[in-house]
Amino acid sequence: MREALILRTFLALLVAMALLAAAAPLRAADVTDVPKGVSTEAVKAFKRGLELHKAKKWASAIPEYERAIALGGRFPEAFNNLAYCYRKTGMIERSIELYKVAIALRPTFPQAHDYLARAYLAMGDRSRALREYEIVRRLDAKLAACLSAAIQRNDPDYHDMPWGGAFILSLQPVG
Amino acid sequence: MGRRVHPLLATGRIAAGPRPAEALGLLLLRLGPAIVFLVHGYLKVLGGHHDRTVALFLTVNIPLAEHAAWFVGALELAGGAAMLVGLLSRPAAALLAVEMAVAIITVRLPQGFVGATEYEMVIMLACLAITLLGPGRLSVEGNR
Repeated sequence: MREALILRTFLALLVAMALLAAAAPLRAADVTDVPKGVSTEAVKAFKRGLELHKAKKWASAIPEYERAIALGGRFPEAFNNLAYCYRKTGMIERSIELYKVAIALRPTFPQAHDYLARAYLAMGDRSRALREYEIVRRLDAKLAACLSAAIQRNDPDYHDMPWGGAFILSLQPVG
Repeated sequence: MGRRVHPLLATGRIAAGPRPAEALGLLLLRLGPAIVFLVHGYLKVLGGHHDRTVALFLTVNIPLAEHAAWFVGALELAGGAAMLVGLLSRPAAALLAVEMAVAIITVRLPQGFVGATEYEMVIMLACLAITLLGPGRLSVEGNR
């Protein structure tokens, strides 16, 4: 009887600890994030890419992001940002391929889905853009509001945030 | 002088079953996946992760994503609880092993092995082991 009581208490404590750990708030991913374990050289190239990206020098940012990926920085943000630069330079098909890689690496990456929807919109594929919108809607309501407005206006650049919605909090939701 | 026999051995409850170390081993084997599924099931059903699960299912083209997300959440919650206490643990573990196989094929394989597929693979193999071996004596089923 005593052993059974100890066993039940032990199990209850384990479950309680696991539930508490799971309930800890998670920080939302950012397109500037670099995961642990990526080589220093890859991180340096990625950060150089980010600086050029911030300055909207899309064509110059592309080789830096590509270098980061070639040096082993195969993380979603690198593919997502590279795709963004390709999209901004008009290479939509290439950007779609790269967004798909970013999404395969992290299927619940809201910014990559948002940008992919905009890339489809730029290609004139409204139905695929709407499908991506359905995913964004479930991941990030504010990002989805902006994407919805872009789809309604058939304008892929409408409320297009190069930093994945980091500034969206300052905007009014768009109906 | 006769040897003193432990009261539990005298009742035959321990002698009739597998060795205590095996029973403890099976309990530990159940505990890992049970806690993981309980927590993930709780998050999917009650912890606000339903939409995230639907988004994942839509991304990897799981049919009827909305219903599938509720089903998988409930399966993980109930299956985790079943494995934890050791009641209907064989069918629960078999269903959860199938779920892990689907997760590996649809989500994890493109992400590589280290830090991705390995996790679901270990959970799936543990579930398959429970399906084959049963929950052991330290369980509701084992004490009937």
